[in-house]
Amino acid sequence: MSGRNSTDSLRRLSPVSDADAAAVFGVTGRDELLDGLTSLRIGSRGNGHERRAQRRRRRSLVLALVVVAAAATAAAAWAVLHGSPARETTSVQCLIRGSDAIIPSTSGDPARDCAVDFRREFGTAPPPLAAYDNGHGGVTVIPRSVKPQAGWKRLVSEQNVDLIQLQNSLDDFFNGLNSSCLGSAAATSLTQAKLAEFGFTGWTVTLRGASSGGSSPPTAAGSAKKAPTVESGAGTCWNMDVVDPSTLSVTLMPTGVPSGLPATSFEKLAAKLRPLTRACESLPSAVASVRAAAGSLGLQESNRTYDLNAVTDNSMRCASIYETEGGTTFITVRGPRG
Amino acid sequence: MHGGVAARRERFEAAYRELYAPICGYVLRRVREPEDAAEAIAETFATLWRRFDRCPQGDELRPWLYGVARRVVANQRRGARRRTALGERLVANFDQGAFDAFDRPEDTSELARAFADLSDSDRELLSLVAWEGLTRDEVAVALGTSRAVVRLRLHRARRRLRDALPAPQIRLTGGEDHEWT
Repeated sequence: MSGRNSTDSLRRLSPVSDADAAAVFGVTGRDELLDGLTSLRIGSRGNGHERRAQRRRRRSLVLALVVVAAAATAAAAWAVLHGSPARETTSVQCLIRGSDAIIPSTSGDPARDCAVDFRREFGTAPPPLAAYDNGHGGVTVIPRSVKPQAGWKRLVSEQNVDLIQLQNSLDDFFNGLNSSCLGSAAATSLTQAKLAEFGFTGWTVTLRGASSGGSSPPTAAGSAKKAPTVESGAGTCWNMDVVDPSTLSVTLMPTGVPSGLPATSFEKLAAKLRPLTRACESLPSAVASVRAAAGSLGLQESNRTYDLNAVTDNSMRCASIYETEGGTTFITVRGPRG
Repeated sequence: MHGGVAARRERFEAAYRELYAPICGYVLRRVREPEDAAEAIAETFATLWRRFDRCPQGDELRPWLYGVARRVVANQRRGARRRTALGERLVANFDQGAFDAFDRPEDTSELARAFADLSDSDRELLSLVAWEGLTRDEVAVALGTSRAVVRLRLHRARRRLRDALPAPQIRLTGGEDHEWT
């Protein structure tokens, strides 16, 4: 051994190489751990049992917060909507039997959405629920038997379904089923088309942090009804949106360049669901197709690797499918019963 | 804020994919039980996820993460074992065949015995150099100490290893800390 590089000598004592070690839990293990890690609330801490219990109680909140962060969905809009009517929001806070969750709105009926989430989370039916304008620009749902806080007002109408659909639809393109790297022009054009599609007129689209400082002219009624052309832009992607009815604006934010990383479960599911959006299915049929697609990837509603919300809307001819990432994958299917 | 969080996640994913194999290697070179290894790997990356905005970036990230893994493994050895949902995600994908492929009989060479007889701290120091391929500066990051201290400790560890060997198996000549000829 004399004369040899001793580092090499000691290296030969190494029980396993990095590559062989990584193979022990496989590519699936690696990707599933990544999914789990990025579902963790940033800064959360605690021992295993405590963390599990906390995660169970607050999971939806965590997920929704990540949705807020990642997709600028409902709760983000809620957070900025001081002074705006509570029904003009796209999220709901559910305070039921010690569970505190902020969830994306799906049906427009906050009590129904919270009931569905509670049943999914705890496996039992919630008590009768009531929705309130909490005076802070949002909707809070609590059991009817619980006294609302001072200043809360019973919500007399449902949330604005058009706004929910606008949010879902934008998320779908910016960080969901049809997401890609959109340049500023393509993102602005897409947003304007979506505003027009759902009947929102007089809104502006603003690019936050754009060097040219841009803000599009307000949309006009009836403009650009056709589906937008989505282009992949080079350089910065504009993949974050905040829908703010109080200022009649959608703010787009840059997210940097695409990483080119291998597909996550979320992306793989998006690839499977994308063809389904081109078919014209009823709600039950679309739900079955979504479940089959998710199942083929090993994703199960029972273990909360995705949450599926089915909303009946008999005014629609074909079901629409929205996918939004946020800790878990939220899928909303909206369409006619049969 | 939103763009920042998304960008953070993107940067984390890039770091995770780059460091996953090295951390698996680090842990599985020191932990025999697959369940414990999975927990240690998961806990290490959970720490990275939580502290990603406040941890070193660039070239210092890898040695820093080895330092995290070192503390996680040390905690396990002190009996602080637990099972978490994150660890279970890894264990659920455990490949016995891949594990058996490197779970070979114990090395009984004199160098292996001398190395095994070193103190934990000496062995860890030399392992960081030989197994993880860290430079002296990177070892300092991993151990959270100064370069001068690392240099001194490496010198002493090498000497103790040399002294534990019956014949002049390793000749210490100075130069780079981990380059002895």
